[in-house]
Amino acid sequence: MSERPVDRHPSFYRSSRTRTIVSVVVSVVALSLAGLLAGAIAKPANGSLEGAEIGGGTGSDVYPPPIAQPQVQASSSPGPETSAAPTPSVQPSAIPSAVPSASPGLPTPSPSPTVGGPGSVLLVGVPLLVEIPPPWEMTWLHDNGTEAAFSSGAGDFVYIAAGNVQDPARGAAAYVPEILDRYLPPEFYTQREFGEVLVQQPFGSLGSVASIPYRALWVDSQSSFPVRGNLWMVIRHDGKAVVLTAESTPEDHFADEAWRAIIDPTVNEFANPDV
Amino acid sequence: MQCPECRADNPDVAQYCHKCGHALLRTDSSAHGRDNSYAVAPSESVRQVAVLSTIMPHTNREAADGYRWAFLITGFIVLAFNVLGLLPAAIVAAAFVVPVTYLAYIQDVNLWEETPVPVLAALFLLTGVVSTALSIVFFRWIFDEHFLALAQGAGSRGGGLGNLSLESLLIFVVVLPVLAEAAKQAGPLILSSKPAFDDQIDALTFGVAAGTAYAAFETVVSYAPVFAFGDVQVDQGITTWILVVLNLMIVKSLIYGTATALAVATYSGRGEKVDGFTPAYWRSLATAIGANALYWLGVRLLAYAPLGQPLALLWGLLILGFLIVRLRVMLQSSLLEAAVEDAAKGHRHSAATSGGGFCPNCEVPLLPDSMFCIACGMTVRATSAAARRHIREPLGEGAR
Repeated sequence: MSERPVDRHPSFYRSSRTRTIVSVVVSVVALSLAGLLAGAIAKPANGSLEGAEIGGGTGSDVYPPPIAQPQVQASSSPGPETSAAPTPSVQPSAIPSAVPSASPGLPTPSPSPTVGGPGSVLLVGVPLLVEIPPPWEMTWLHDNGTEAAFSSGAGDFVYIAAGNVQDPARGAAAYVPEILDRYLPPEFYTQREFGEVLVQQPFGSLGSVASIPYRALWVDSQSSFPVRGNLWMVIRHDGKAVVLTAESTPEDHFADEAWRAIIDPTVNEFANPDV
Repeated sequence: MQCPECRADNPDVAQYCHKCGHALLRTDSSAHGRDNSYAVAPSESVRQVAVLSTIMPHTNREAADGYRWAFLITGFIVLAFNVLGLLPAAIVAAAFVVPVTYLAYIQDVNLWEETPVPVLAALFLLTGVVSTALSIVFFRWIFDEHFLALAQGAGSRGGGLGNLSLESLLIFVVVLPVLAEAAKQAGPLILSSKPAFDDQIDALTFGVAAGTAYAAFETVVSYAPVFAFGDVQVDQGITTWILVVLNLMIVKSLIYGTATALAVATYSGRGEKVDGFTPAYWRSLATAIGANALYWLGVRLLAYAPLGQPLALLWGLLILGFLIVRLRVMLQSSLLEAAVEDAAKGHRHSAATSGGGFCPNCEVPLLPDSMFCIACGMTVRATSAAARRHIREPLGEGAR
């Protein structure tokens, strides 16, 4: 049987396989380099990360102002990337059964705090009443009632978790490096940069106060945004503890300290539970 | 041999009816006896989760290999940028791998015929501009606070959904997908309305192109902070970024593309003229929006779960798999039923072979007036523009 030559008609497609591969690869690499160039041009000069003291600065006579003592630098800094143990030392879930009404002196909170409005919310982990002044709103509340997040509506965010620690004598400065991965999870907070751990003079019932400034690029599969923030840990003598973060985006909004409207009263409330 | 479906006479050796594509020898229990043979890529089954033959229907196996290698190489380059910590390069490359490959494909098969500028403008520039504008509004300007609020409880911080803001959730998993889908379909619907591009397979291609273009520009806007944060090269969070980049490069881009393709192909309809805004189109549109909404709902909710990022990637792959199969089933049904209708009415489709030529897939000679290859069952509608011209001309004259 004679074989009939098959006309493969290469003109069915304008490009050969090699040309297709080369053109796609070259185009993508060129776009990548353009992105790299844009990144190199757009990099702003980063300011230094400095911590901030909290609490007591409300001018109220009820709460003692922070004692103006020299700030103490902790002996170690977590550096750009902490090597902290992943197990959190603060255990908010350890006391989920705390009964809000059993805490004398606390204003009666809404029995079912809801997201999306001013007012107050009681975190059952201590318990701790968090006043939410306008324009702040609670944007998230953990199912167990020990953690909540708040937004100013203008790029400022506060996160508060209440619980206790096993050994309050260790001091907040020792706990801070250990809880960074728990409260600033690296799977979402990438490119984390931390400043020095700042130890603040405790006041009221507080046994220790420590904080650490940070900046990071928050990311998930839908978007990303830069944040500049500060994490505080305050521990009372009775072992009750609160972790607070305040962060802003864009980063320069953090210096406006809008977060003080919710952070300072909360810390004072925690430091003076019987007032 | 007479076809049991359309009664057309076929050679005794025919595996498939040249008129309606019905399986003649190796049939299965499906309506057209060929669920094991996708009319666009006969070596694959209809419900096979095969990406290339679904989104690039005008290629044959040989040409598809070129795109496969191009995608693999560029994908490797993207991951290399990522591992090296060059995030700005990785993000841009991830955003544009699929659209660039698709542009090469459209150019390769000459889908735009002789009018490349209007086609490109409608598909990429128009879609890109609208995508950029919408993304700025949602991620950087008016609704950015809502997105940031959603992010607050994410990660191992909370470990629970809590009282998540329903308003914010609705904005990003319902409102945005609805508006985005409208933006993605604008260009393809205009093009599909033109007589030169009224074939359903062309419409599918336009839908994929517009959807992937929208995804690319949205990615650049929503990840713009990467370009202005920290050093150009980073050494942290590489694993997180690999998951994010894989999601952007493969899942997001292809979900956007296949979802839009499904709706636009339904708009084009199975016949030679545009079906328009029929109930079937609205159903496909609802499927497209629903797939996008489900994808983003999963991403948002899984962010509150342990291992949220890898789970979001898997969730996206699941949605993508559904869309691919849905698209293939729809196209298979349309191609075969349209051919049966034409055969019953004695109507000759403009894509039918005129005098011979060879099947672009298996190179077996095609019968005159055929819509399918009798050997492999491939539809002659899923061919490049050059191949179409060739198989519509008598033997000898088409070879140049």
